Amino acid sequence: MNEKARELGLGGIRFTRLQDATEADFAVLVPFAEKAHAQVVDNVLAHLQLLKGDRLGFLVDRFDHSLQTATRAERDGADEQMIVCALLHDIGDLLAPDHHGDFAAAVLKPYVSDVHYNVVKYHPEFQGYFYWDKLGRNHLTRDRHKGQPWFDAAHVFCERWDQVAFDPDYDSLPLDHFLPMVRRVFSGESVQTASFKKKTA
Amino acid sequence: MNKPLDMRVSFTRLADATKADFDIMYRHMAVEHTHLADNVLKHLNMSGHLQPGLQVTRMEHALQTATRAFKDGATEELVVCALLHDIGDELAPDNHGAFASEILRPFLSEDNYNVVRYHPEFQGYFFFDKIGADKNMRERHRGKAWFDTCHHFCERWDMPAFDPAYESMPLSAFEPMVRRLFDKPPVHNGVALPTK
Repeated sequence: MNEKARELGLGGIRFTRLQDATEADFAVLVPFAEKAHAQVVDNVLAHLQLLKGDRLGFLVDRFDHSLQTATRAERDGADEQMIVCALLHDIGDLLAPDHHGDFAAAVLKPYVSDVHYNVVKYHPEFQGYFYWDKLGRNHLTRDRHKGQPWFDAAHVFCERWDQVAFDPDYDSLPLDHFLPMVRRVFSGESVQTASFKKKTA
Repeated sequence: MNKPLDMRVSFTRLADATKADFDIMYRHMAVEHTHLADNVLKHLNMSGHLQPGLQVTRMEHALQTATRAFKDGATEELVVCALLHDIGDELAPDNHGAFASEILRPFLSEDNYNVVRYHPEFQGYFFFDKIGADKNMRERHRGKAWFDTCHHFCERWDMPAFDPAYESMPLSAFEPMVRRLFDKPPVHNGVALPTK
């Protein structure tokens, strides 16, 4: 089966309802799933760069804000997963602005620890500690998470890296600097791929 | 005099932002919200041509799922959910239910949010046993108000939507539905979000 035929869906798949798919069909589909997984990191990096340009009134655009947050995390001694989380924490701004923490956490979940996942998921509430009072919202909303093992990490994330990363004069590191880290974090095998593999190895 | 959208905030740390800064930001955010449907449709189109081994492309699967929902008399909200349920295939394939549900969340009932979020487990009822996983994984949600809807979503619309001979409605038929849904005032944790 050549690559072109595979791309056209001519790998022998004949089912039209997933219910009728056989184990042999899934054996055919595994390489496609693996290829799709291998491309996730490039898709994520391309999506991150869509944040370039529009400043939404800020002094830096959201791509620069992402680089600045990640740079501050790295210079503060954060671990590699956390630096990547800092780089990608606002990646949901285009498709899910109101739930961008949940969105970024959904992207990162297969590749990071529970602590990192929750820091990203709830960072908007922790960021809110620094300004929601000015908008008539409860800036202590984050306190519902008090006692969680990731509470302090989320506070540090916002206080030291995220909420200060709107400075146009900060010397952020370029995206190239972070690429090897992003690729290492995303090369961690995700759960569903593992189960595909286990069965068909 | 600057036009409203030329105005910039003055702070470099969010903690120093003033009410005037937030007024500027909200004006930008309100405009950005009007682009949301376009951004989502663009993202759906971006990888729609891909055909990962199947007989239908990603876009055809999306259109077919939505068409089946529409013809089955689903609410417009669920038809849009059907169209967008796999929109995470590019950025979050293993977590694509959560991904799609967070995009749609401000505009959905809580039940439909859960339908989108957990549809991969309900789809798994039809094939997980063939890949060495537990086909009854969805049972942890038994008794939830949205359980039957999610089963129906997968059994009638999603699971059979891999048929190259099915005549799906075009994307243009669904675009107005997508725009109507994303035009609804967004809600976050039960609180209406400021849009202006």
